[in-house]
Amino acid sequence: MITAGGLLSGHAHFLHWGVVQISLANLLVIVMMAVLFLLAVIIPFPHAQHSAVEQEQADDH
Amino acid sequence: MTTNQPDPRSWTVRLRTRLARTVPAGQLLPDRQPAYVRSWIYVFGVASLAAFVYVIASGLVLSLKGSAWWHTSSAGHFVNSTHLWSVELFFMFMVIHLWGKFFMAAWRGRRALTWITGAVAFIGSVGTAFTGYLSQSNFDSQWTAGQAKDGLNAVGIGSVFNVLNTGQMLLWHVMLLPLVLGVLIVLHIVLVRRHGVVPPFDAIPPDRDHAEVTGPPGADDALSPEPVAPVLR
Repeated sequence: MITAGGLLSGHAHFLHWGVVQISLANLLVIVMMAVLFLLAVIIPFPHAQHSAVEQEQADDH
Repeated sequence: MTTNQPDPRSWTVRLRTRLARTVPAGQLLPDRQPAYVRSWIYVFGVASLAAFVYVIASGLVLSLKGSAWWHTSSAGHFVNSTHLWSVELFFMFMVIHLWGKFFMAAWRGRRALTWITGAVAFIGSVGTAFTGYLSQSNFDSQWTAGQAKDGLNAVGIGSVFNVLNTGQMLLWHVMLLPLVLGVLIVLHIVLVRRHGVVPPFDAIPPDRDHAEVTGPPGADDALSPEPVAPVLR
């Protein structure tokens, strides 16, 4: 049977900061969400500028 | 005397009129959107919807085949895993969409109910996912239920929501909560169609009163007949 391998397979790895503890997998998911959110805000949407110009031209007519 | 005029007392006529006023035909499936809709934040909203559809579809397959299938067969393992990972993606996409809408203050302009239905759908999704962990029928679900019971008893809901009652948790997971969640999501989309997405902060023309765009205080009746037109610069 094929099983998942690597850092996230098997027993969970937990990170501890004082009273805070979180599994490595959960931390990675949260970091991934934050990175995706930043990219969603920073990366311009394809053709957004082009469409805005078209919209302005259509509104002018 | 006969007449072709619809009887305004008829409940079907009143319901039809109400539906037509709530979401006019042109707003239900529009072919044009304001320029500011071209944003990745809305892509994540639609991605959440796509993930939800897959969650429901894979859940239906798991319901049809049963726990022995998803525990013992390769196909069952696969569908069970895709059910889990589509839920993970559903939450990830939904949270990014929620963060984006929060920083856009998406409740402006009579859109409070749109925001509320989205937020409540998020909270409902947490409960639905939780009952999913309890419905795996393995040692993980037993451990999760054992850990959760004390917390839920401490807040006083253990008598009506008993996490040690596997049958109750399974029915909440496969019937009650998906139904509630589905209704909330449909309502959320209808409200988005009804009011349009929120304009950017700088889309308010300087010659217009702010209250004219954001709506007067207390005017958050999202199903009110007057649509709020998006304002473009």
